[in-house]
Amino acid sequence: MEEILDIEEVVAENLKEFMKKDEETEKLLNEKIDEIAKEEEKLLNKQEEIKALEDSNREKINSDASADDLILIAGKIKEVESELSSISENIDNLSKEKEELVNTKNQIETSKQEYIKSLNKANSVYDEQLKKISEAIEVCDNPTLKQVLSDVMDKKTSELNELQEKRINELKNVMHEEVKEETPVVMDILPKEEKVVVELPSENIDVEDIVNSSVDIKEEMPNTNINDAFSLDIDLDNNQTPQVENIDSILEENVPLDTAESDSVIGLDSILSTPALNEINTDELVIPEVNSIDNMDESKMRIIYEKDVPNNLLRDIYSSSKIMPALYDYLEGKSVMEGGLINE
Amino acid sequence: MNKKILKLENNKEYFSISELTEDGINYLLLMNVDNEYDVKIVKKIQENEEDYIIEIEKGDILLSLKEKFKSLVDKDKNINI
Repeated sequence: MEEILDIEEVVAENLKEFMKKDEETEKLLNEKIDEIAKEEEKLLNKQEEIKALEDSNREKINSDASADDLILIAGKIKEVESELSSISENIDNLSKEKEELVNTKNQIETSKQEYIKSLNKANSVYDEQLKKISEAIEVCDNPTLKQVLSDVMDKKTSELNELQEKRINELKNVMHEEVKEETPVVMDILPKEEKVVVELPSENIDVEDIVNSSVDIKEEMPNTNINDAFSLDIDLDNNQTPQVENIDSILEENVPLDTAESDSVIGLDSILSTPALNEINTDELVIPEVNSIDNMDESKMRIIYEKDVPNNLLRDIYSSSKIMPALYDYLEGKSVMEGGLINE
Repeated sequence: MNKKILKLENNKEYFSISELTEDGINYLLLMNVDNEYDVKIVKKIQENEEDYIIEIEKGDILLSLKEKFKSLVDKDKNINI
């Protein structure tokens, strides 16, 4: 079974890329600052050289030096002034480049914040939708329909995982473009949501017929009205698309994403709508074996999902004064009853 | 599959404290998230592309696994505190 990528993990993964880019820009910026400092030092030295030459010139003039000497000194002064001028120009250019790097850094930070915001928002939309499906599963008494909904939820979860992976790869591709010193990096890496169509499989799910048909069936299954199964939080008219409260507004919520592709939404109403019913011969009806929760063999259990535990929670668990003793009691062979009473 | 929370089909959630593999079988040490006294050792299998866990309820193998998990927990505890 694929892991569900924890939202914090995904965001942390993406943030690493942002931080990496930020570090690279920071490094370039620092190099630029060093270069400017060196040029400024050269500038100062040249200025001092000019001053020294001018002093020397004055001395020569006062001591009636020859014209050749004076011309020589004047030439040197001119040369040094020219060097000074090119150093000043260099410093100006370096300062401009430094400015651009600072802007790039700021853009990275802004993009990072926007990315986190949009990713969290998009993920919370998916989480909300998955939560609603999960709630529907919990209140559903019909085991067959329950299984179908579970399968749809598993499929949606794995699609979410793929979307998360895609986002990470997209970000990596963008972040690995070279930072050009003349132009700032363009951060166009907000995640794109894809439209996913959910179709409830119609074969073998003649639910209403199963529920409402002959005595034989009623002996096996509770007389469940499918409408009741979805009554909690959901308005379901007979054979009409259920109106899920606020789900449309959630699905169409304006998440700041690239609008080149259409938004990806889980059509909960299509999931929850009653499937088309076919006429069936009840004499030939075979009721699938269904395990209700009460009858489940507790020794063999299916894993619905797995989720990573954040590091800070791990530390809390290992330092807990309740959890670790209970764990050690079990491992050392003491049978512990609920409430902590030890039955050795 | 270390350090995860698992949700099972009976709607209970378990923290997977530790994992070890022996003779090609994955064993997990699980603790109920809502009840720290509900601890079990299970083996993880795959059927029809679905993951399942089966509890190891008794026997010599359980004792041997408990011992091994204890040393793993001690090690992890020292790393994480």
